[in-house]
Amino acid sequence: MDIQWELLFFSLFVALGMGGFAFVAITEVNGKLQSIRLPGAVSSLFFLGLGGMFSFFHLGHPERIFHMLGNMESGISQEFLSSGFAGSMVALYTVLLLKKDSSPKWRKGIAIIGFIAAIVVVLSTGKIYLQGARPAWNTIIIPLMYLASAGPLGLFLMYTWASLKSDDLPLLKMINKITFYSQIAFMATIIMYLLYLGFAPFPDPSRSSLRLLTGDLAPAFWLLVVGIGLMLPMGITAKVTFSDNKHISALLPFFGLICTIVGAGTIRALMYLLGSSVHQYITG
Amino acid sequence: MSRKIIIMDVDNCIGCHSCAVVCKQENNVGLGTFWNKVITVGPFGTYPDLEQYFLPVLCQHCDNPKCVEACPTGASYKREDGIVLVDHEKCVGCRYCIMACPYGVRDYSEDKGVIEKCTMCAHLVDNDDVPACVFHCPGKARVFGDLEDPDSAPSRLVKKAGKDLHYLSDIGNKPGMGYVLKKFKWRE
Repeated sequence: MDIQWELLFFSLFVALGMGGFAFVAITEVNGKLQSIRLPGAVSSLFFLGLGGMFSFFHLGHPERIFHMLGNMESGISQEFLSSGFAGSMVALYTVLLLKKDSSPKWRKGIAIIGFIAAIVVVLSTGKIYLQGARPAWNTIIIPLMYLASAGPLGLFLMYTWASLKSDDLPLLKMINKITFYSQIAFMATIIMYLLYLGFAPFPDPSRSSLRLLTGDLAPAFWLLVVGIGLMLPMGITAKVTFSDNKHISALLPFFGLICTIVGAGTIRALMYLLGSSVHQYITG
Repeated sequence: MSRKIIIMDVDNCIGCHSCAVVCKQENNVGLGTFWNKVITVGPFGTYPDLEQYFLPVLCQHCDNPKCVEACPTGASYKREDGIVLVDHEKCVGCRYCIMACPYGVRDYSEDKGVIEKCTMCAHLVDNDDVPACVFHCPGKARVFGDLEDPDSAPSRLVKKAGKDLHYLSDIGNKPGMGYVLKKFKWRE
C-alpha cells in the first residue's frame, strides 16, 4: 500500500500529544514539575488537534465526518470517539489549570481519566491496522509499537519543557533516565515487529522482514529508524546521564524529539509500504 | 431468501478482457481504474508441459464481508440477496474498507471522494437482467444466478464441479464467487 501521509501524521501527532499528556497527568498526580503542566497540556492539545486536522483532510467527504459514528464495531469509529473524548479531557484539564481557583481534586481526577484516555486513543490508532487482509499488519504488536513510540515522543516533548522551566537537576536527570528506558521499549517493539514479519501468514516478498532489513526499504530502516530515530536520541540521553554539567540545555531534548519524530514517522511509513493485501488484483 | 452470485468457469475463459471493457462501459468506470479485471496466472512448468489460465477478478461479494465490518459509516452494506454495495451518500471516503479487502478490488474515486467497486450490476439484476460481464462473455465463462435455487445455472455448475470448485484465499470473509478449474492446478 502507498504511504497514507495524512494518517501517518495523524497517528504520529496523536502519539506525541497523548504521550506528552500522560506525563503531564503523572506530574499532576505526584505533585512535581508544576511549571510544565500548562505548556505541556497546551502543546499536547495542539498536537492532538494537528493530528486530527490531518485525519480530517484525509477524508473524501470531511463534511460527513459525523457519519463515522455509524458503526461502533468499526475501528475507525472507535478511534474517532476515543480521540474526541481524549481531546475533551485534555481541553478540560487545560481550562482547570487556567482557572486559578480550580479544585486540585478535580484536576487530579481529570488528569487520571485523561491519562487512561491517552493510552486508549494511541492504542486505537494502531488497532485499526489489525486487518486479516494485510498480513504484515495483522498483529497486536502494531498498537503496542504505536503506544511505545508515544513514550519517547511525549517524554522528549515534556523533557524539553522541563529543561526550559526547571533547574532541578536530579529531577531532569530522572526524566532523562525514563526517556532512555522508553526508547528501549520502543526499540523492543520494533524488534518484535521484525520477528512477526518473519512468521506472518501469506508470506510474500512485498511484506517480508528481508525487504526491511536488506531490500529496497533497508536504507530508510537503518538510517532513519535505527540511526536517527533510535541511536541518536539514545546517545543524547546517555550523554546527559554520564555528563557532570550542572545545566541541561533544552536543545538536547528538543533535538532528541526531532530525531524520535523522524524514527517514529519512518517506521509508520515503512509499515504502510509493507502493508500489501493478501492479493492485490486491481488496486493495492 | 436468495443468494445472487457469479460462478466463473475458468476453463472457458479465453482471456479476451471483454468483461473488463463492458464493465467500464456499463458502469462508467473512470479512466485507469477497473472494477473487474482478468489476470494471467502462469505460465508454470517446463516446456512442453506448461500451464497457464486466466483468472477473472472482481469483488467477491463475500458471505462475511470484511469491508462491511470495517466501514465506520455503514456505507458499505450487504443486501439480502448477498450483493455488497457502497452507498455513496453515506461514504466519507476514509478508505478503511480498501485496507480491509484481501483482494484489492476496491478503488477510491478522487473525483467523487468515495469508494467504488463491482456492484454485480445491481441496477440490471434488480430488473431481472444479468450483469454486463456475464451477458457479454464470449466464452460463457461466467454463470450468474441464485445459489439458493438448486435448479439455477450456478447451482448446477457448482454441483457438477465438485472438487474442482475453488475460492480465493479466505481470511474469514468467506468469498462468495466460485471458480471452476479442471484443466490445470488451481494456483490463484
